[in-house]
Amino acid sequence: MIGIEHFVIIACIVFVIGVIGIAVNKHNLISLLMSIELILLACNTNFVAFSKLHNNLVGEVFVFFVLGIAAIETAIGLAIMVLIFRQHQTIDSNKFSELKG
Amino acid sequence: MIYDMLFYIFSILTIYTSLMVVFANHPVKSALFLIFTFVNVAGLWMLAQSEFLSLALIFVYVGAVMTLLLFVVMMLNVPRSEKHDVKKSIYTSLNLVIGLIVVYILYSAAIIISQPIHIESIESPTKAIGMVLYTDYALAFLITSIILLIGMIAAVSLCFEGRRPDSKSQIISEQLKANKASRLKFAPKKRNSK
Repeated sequence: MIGIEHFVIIACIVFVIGVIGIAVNKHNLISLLMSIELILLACNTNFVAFSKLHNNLVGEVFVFFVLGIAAIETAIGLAIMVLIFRQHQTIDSNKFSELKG
Repeated sequence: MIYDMLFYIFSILTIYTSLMVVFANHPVKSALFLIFTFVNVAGLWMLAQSEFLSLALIFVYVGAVMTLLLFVVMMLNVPRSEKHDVKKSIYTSLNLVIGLIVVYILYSAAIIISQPIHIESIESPTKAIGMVLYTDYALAFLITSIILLIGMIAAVSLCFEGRRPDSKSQIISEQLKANKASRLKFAPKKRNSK
């Protein structure tokens, strides 16, 4: 019998894969964006599972909002990435040193 | 029985493709695997009986966002990631160990809350979501639409470099500023050589 815990376990595995992806691919900005998408997807899966557990639709409505905001975040991130590529001819985050970080 | 099999197929594919997103050696490959991950998670959500959200995930992500992402990846011509050196593989294994610990903690938390999902039969789940979304959360819905508009304006204005001087488009303000004096030009009178 598939219960709530299976969905939560899948969500946490995907979440951890996303966090590992941020740590592993930290030199590539596009891979960072994709890892953030994975993390948001895991959080949304948790929202869906728990809204089914409590039989409450508010969680699904929240997933709706998170989807919209994540789409906008990706679009603006890609626009910034195109600007960075025009300036530096690369998107390797080790090559940027304007902020002296 | 079929439900369990479908769940395991979707979940194994989700884990495999999300691992490939992280560890693929080319960004185009990882973007395509990310699309496949979204499709699989949409299947999982469909199994959790939230049909509207799973279809919205496919429409919004696979249809719009991932197309944008693939377009940018191909436009930027990102080089392949270099071979894994020793330092990087040490970091990777350390990350994997920490990740497994986090998975174990969340797994034990999930076992504590383990309850079967009870589903009451609603006549239309989409209708139920709409009833909540357009009454209790109408203001948040409107704010989301305004945020989407602002994001669109921001993305366009970030990438817009201004009008090129040799483009053949019409400049409306210049056209509206024209009057009779600026448009008519008197040619110098030719004298008849008679």
